[in-house]
This record gives sequence, C-alpha cells and structure tokens, in this order.
Amino acid sequence: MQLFRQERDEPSIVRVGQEGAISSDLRPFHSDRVEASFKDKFRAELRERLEQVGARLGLGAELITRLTFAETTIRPVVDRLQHLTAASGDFAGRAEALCTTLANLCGKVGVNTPESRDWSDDQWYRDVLEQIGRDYDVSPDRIARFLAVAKLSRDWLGSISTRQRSFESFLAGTRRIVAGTCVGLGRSSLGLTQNRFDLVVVDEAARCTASELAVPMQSGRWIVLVGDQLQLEPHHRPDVVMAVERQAQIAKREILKSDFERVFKSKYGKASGQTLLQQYRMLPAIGRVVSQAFYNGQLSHARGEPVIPPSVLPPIVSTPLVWVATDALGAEGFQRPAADSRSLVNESEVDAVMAILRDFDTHEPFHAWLQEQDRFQEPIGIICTYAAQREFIRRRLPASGLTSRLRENCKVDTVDSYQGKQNAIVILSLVRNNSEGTFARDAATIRPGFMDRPNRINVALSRAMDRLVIIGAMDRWMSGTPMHAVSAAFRVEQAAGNARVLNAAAMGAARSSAAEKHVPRRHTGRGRR
Amino acid sequence: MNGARARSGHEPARGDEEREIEIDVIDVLLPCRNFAITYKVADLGKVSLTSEFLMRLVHSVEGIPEGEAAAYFGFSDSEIAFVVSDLEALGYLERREGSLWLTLAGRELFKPGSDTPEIYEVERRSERHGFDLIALAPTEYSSLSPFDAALPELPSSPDRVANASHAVRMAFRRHFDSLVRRATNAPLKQSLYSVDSVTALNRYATPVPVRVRAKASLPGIVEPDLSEKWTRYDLDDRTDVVESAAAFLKACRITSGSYDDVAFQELARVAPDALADYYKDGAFRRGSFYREAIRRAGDLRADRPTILLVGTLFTDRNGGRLKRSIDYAVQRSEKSLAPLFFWHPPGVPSWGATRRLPLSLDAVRESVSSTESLRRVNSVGITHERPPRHLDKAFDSIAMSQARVLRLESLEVFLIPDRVAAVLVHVPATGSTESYPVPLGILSFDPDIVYRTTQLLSDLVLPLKVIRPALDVDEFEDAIKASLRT
Repeated sequence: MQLFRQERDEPSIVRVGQEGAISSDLRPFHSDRVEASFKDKFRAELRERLEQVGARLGLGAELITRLTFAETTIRPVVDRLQHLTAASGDFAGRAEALCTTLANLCGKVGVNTPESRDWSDDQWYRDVLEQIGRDYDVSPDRIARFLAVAKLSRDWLGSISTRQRSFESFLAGTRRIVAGTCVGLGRSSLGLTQNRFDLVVVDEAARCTASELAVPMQSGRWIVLVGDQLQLEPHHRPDVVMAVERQAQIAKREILKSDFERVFKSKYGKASGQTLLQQYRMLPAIGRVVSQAFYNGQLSHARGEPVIPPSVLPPIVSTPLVWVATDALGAEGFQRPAADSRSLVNESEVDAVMAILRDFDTHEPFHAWLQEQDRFQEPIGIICTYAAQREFIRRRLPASGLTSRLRENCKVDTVDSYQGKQNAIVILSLVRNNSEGTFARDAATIRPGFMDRPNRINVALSRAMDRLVIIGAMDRWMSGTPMHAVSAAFRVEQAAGNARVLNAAAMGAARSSAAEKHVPRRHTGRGRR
Repeated sequence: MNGARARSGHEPARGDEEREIEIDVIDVLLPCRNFAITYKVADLGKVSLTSEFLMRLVHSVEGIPEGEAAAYFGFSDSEIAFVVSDLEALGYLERREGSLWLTLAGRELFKPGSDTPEIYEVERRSERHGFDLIALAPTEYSSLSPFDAALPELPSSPDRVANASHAVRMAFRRHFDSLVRRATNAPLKQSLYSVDSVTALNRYATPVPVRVRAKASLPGIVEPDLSEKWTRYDLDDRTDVVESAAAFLKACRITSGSYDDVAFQELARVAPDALADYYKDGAFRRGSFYREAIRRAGDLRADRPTILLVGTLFTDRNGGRLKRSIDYAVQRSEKSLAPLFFWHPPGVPSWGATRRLPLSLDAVRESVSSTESLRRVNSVGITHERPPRHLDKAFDSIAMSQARVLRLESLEVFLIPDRVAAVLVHVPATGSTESYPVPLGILSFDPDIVYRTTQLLSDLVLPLKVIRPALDVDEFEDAIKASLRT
C-alpha cells in the first residue's frame, strides 16, 4: 500500500472479512468502512437526492421542498413520540415538548397542526402530508411514489449488512483488487469463485493447507505464491496428524509440510521461484539473531535507521535486544496448565509484561511520542506462544491501571496470528518453562513441547522492528533446540553491546519502588475525605 | 514474644507471597439507559442488498435514467453497471435507451399497494432494550435500594452519552443474537434487516461488584475483578467498563497521612501482645506485619481469639472471620449485650461503598440478636463530619464526634461492646507513598482487646452528637453511654 501510494492515487481495493483482524493500512478499505462512508455521504446529501427524484417524478420545486422537510425533519419527531408514548414510564414532559416542536414545524411547512394526539399509528403524519398535497394540482400517486423513495432512503440508511446479505458482494464485484483470507474469499455469498481474476497473489502461502490454497488459486489466471517455509507451517489438528502418521505410515514432517514448500523445492519451483535474502523489518541486531538461529546467517539487513527515536524509549530498552530472564525465579517462573483449556499460562511472565508496560507508561517522552506519531496503529506488540497466555494478558490489561493511551497502543496476540505482521516494539512471552527435560550440567532442562520446532520461534522473534524484549527462561534450553540457538545468538549480541539481560526476580522486587518514583506526589484522586 | 505468636499466630502458608490477595470489595453504579428500538428482521434471500434497493427505486421512479439512479445511491458508472447486470441476470430489470425498467417478473415481486419487493418476508418490531453507557453492552433494569442509589457511579464519557442513540444502533446489531434471537428462539435463517429508529428513554443504573485485588508481592498495584457479575465472555464485551473500574480505583488512591504512625501506635496499644513483634522502639514495622499477615494460613479458634488482618472486613475471607469471631464471642461472654454496636469508618473515599456493608450490619444484628438478645441491636456509624450518602443510608443511626482530640483519619474501628473488636489502619501499600488504601489491623474477641478498643473509641470520638438516632434521642444517648462505658 505504501509503495502504491508513492506512485499514484489510492488503489481500487476492498478488504473483506473480520475488521478486527486486518492490518491498519487496509482498514480504510474494509467493506464495513466503505459501506459506512457510502451511507454517511448519502445522509449528508439526502435533500439533494430527494429533490432530484422529485423533479424526475414531475413534482414542483416548492412541493418537493415541503415534502422533503416533512420527511427529514417532522417525521423523526413523530417517530420519537410514538416510542415515548408506547414505552412505560413517565415521559409526559418530554412528549409535551416534542408536541410543541411539532406545532412549530407544522407552522414552518405551512400546515395546521392536526388535532389528534394519538401516536399509535401514522394518522397524524398522514394528515400533515395530505394538507401539503392539497395545495398542489398533483396526482396522489406521484406524491406516494416520492414518499416511497423517501422511505427507501430511510431503509437504505438503516439497512444492516449480514454475512448472507451484505454490501460486500457489491464491493467485491466492483473493485479491481479484492483482499481477504483464502477461506473468507471463498464464501459463496461473495460470488468470487465464479469470477476469474487476472492475478491472484497468495501471501503467507507456506501456511496454507492444500484446500486453503485451492480456493484463491481456482479464481486466477496467473498465480504468485509468496511464503517462507521456515516460518509457520499449515495448521492441522494434532490428533489428525497422529492418525495420518499411524494409519498411512507417512512421516510427521511430510504431513506437516506445506504444498508451497513442495512446489518451491520441485524442479518447476527451482526454475521459476526466487529467494529474497535481504530483510528490511528488523534492526540489524535483531535480524542477526534471527538469521543466525534460523537462516544459517544468510540474511542481510537493509535498515539501520530506527523507526522510533531511541531518545524517547525508557532506559529498560536502551538496546535493541532485551531478555528478561526468569531463570532465577526457579519454580515460580514455571508454566502451568490453563484452567479451562489444554493451553498453558505463565503468571510470572505476565507480571513481567505488566512491569515493562508500566515502565513505558511512566516514561513521559514515550507518551509524547505516542501522542504525536501516526505511522503505527499499535507500536507495541505482545506476542504469546500460547493462546491461554494471550487471554490472560488481554484480561489483565484493562484492569491494570495503565493509561488508556498506552493500552490502545498495544496489541496482544499469539504467534500463529502474528505471521506477516510487525510492531515497532515486540514483547515476547515464551510461557514454556519447566523442569521436565533431560538433565544437563546437573540441572533439569526445559521440555520444549512444540517449541522444539524452529518455525514458530522464528516467527515470534522476527516481528520486531526496533526493540525485541524476550520474557522467559534463558539458560536451561536443551542443546540442539531452537531456543538454545536463539539464546546463543543473543549472547553474541550481548557481548557486542547490542543486548542486555535483566533478572526478572530482581526486576519484580525493584518494580514497586521504581513505579513509585513516577507516581506524582500530589494527591491525584479524591483522596482522604 | 513466642507467646504472642502462639496466641495470634498461625501456620505459615507456602508460596503465599506470589498469590493474589483481595484488599476490598466495592460496588459501583454502572450508568445505563433504556432505548426504544424499531427494527426489522427478514428471512434470508438470494437478492443482494444493493439489487433490492435499486429495484425499489425503479419501482417508484419507472424509467429512471441509469445515470440518475447511480447518482441517487452515490454509485460510479461501473458500480451501477454491476448492480444492473445482477438484476438483469435474475430477469427482474431491463435497460431501454439508457433508462431502467422493471420486467414483468420484477413488477410481480411488488404486491399492489406495496413499495417493497416480496423477496423475503420482512417483519417490523419495536422493543425496549437497556444498554450501559460505557461499553454499550446490554444490561437489565433492576430497582435500587436507597443504599444502592447512593453508591458511587462510574464516570461515562459525555460524548458517549450524547451519541448513545447513534452508537446503540451498532450495539444492537452486535448483540442482536443474544438480545433477540436467543431470547425469542427466532429461526436461524432470520436475520436483522434494518435498525430503523432508536429513541432514548429513561436512565437507570445497575450495581457492579468490584473485587479489588493485587499480587501479594505488589499490594500497591490493584486491579478490579468484575467476575462476580459477568463471565469472562461477557467481560470481553465490556472492556470499557473494566477500564473505567480501574480508573475509579486509581482515583481512590490515598497518600500517606501525617498521623498514620499515631494510628499504628493506637493499634499496637489495643493489642500489645499480638503486635509485639511489629511495634518496636515506638515504630510500627508495617512491612513485617503485612508479610506475616498474608503468610499465615490459620484462622480464629477458641484458643486463638486474635488474628492479623489485611484488607477490609468486606472481603470474603475477612467477612467470614468477622462472623466467626462473633459466634465465638457470643458463646463465651457472660456480660449482658449492649444495645448498640459501632463502626468508625476511616477517612478514605471508597470505604463502605459496597452492598456488603448493609449485609454485614444485618449479619451482625442477626448473629447477636438470634443468640442473646430479645430486642434489636442497632448499628451506629460514627463520623467526624456529615457522612457520604451511602454511609448515611447504611447505618441505623449516625452520630458525629464532637471530640477535640487529634483526628486519626486512617483508623477504622469496629466494635460490638464486650464481644468483638476490629481495628484497622488504612494506609498506602508498604513501600508506596500513594496507592489504593490497604487496611492492616487485627480482629479479636479477646475480652482485653475488646475492652481496650472500647477505651480507644471513647477517647477518639466522645462526646457524640446524634445526627440520626434509631431510638428516641434520650434513650439513644443513654445507650451510647452504656455501650461505651469502660
């Protein structure tokens, strides 16, 4: 989008699907937003539109003006009166005031106020319209047609798009570019699968299952697949993978492999594919950790200029990389099963996340930057490796007492939802921390669970642009695991002065006094009586 | 010292430093409003939204030029062409010399006298629904007692209130399933067709219990827990209410008072044995007291009449302890029961703003009266100035202190003469200069401590001026003298 805007006007594009799940650049093009802007414009120009239709029906200008006034000004007051008199409760005062308003409005449109005070039906309003119509030599049918269009206008403004009967199908059929998820675009009500697009670009294609890929690919004449097989793989239910492995005798790795990877590594893929090795997202120190741990050091790093001025950042993130190590907490830093799912949570890491956010929240220069900047929708991303941890943090945030400005600038999600997205600052909660692994150097290592696969960790670490704060265990990852490689690469950056390690235990103890330093001395609340 | 530990102490509970503690429970009023909403539901059909409305326009303005129809809806040439093609494909519309006409099949969709096509059945409804004015989530009206009505209200943004009618359209749409479909068992194929009008009706408020919680290791950082009223899924729709409650708690923060040390001195004077470990060289060691109080897992027993408290007497744990202390005291006391019991609230803004205050007063009356008194025992709230409305509504009587002594704002005293006493000091959390008040103190049915508490209260508040007596004034003053005799 940014590159497109440099060259020409806004693209003819619509984004369909859930608005909450889409990136900020595309939000103005989301179907709900476009629909709302259509209706806002319609509302603002309603009088002109009715006048035009009135003229087409052969009504005179004065009659159109009076009827339009009745429809747009008198009728809403009548509606309110109907509601108030139908509702139980003492609304006599308000109803009387509205009757006075109606009498004034009748005077403005040059009719006598009808005697009736029965608001249970439209008779009062029909009397007003009849009085207006009597002044002109126009057939009642034409007036009725005009009023039908006025009603149509009201319905159009009040109409509700639903999944089955939506404005989306109209937008999808009239825009040059349609963006959405593979499955979302396949919804039959959108009718896109019947159309042939000249070009279909499938981003994050390495995450797609075969059936997901099939949906957009059947609609295009020319297909471009973009993806990274070293990042997240297609999602399959673990029990399904196990059943296939057992019954079909196919290796798990082969079941999990994406069709993108198969095509990319095929003879055809090698001939027509391209590998991009230069990354622009992460500052070099962060990029080097990712490159060393997951890409054999092959990546080069093209961006050295930070997106956030370092002077506005709190001292806790004075280096691009920070690891808040929970090793010293011992068992208190361990994961535990979530209460109502098979997921995991880690409370000490949640506390550390909150402590870091409080540091940002009490750092005045950062607040000033948040207020001024308009480049990032949510500059701070909190990434969790488990869904239950995400829910835990999401529930804690509103209750945390953090300022609304900081909260509104934070996004909390799981690694799986984060692929393809980025934040200027990323706080990563590893969650996984236990003593269930094998013994090494007389200490129990961490049993890594699904964190023994590098893809997920690669995604988690490579979302950060300027600052990456890792929260969790640092030293007890088993040799040969991806997290062990990350830890080793981090130590290299630490030695070079680009990273620092903080002790979560010491940080927690110091937290209250540190936070206190920023609490204004004056009495901020209602205080003592 | 060991003796003191044995009398007031308990077994340490492992790992309690990291657990959550409940410091207070308050109730706040959530501002709400009823709205009359007129809406339509329709069975789902195959004609798209835009096609339906173009058909209606052409039905009313036959032969409208395609360009004028496009201008009416604000469509571009390609957009109107798309809609027209859709209707042409369905056989409902035709183009003739740049103008649009319904085909016979299209006209037959409109019944005589109707200006809407019979594509699907549309049903118009008018209903009343309540929404809160902070998150615009559905709420149900319930009547408030005079005490409830005096509770503090969560602030709502003036913009949100002013634009509520408009925003309620969106809220109604969002909550349509729970408000209408599930409530009426409407068929799944029926969906919301339009929200035609929204009229604001009466305002009301609904109480929301807020548990004030903190990590034991960080008591200065409190968070509101609203799970007593709403499930986690309901709370997902009400994050604005949670934020507002957090802001409310922030506004209740207090700073250290000049005479907090004196208040702790008085506390130590009341229970010198139980607090010997924490009061040394004229200074009260709040940190040690706090850590010990949250670490101990034991509770009141017949041979353990005094316990350390953290948090108000309205928390689940402390409320239960208060009840048990009364039960023990009633069983063992030989003295006749005084006709009054007293509560001297601390000078903190949120104190007693909970529906648990009247419930606690009822429970005390019931516990005492059912076992040993033939007549009603009345509660007296003792204040130093005119009390806030919620306290005025809670107590049977209100008496104002006329004492010309140092006023200890952080001190809370609860006293059932000759039976039970609680003394709490409301101060910012340990190590903080400002925080939500964290009460630290004792609860006891030890006759010596109850006696000294009576002395303390008498010293602090007598003479009293009766503001609102539960009994005849003379009788009330006699009752006070009898109750606070030491």
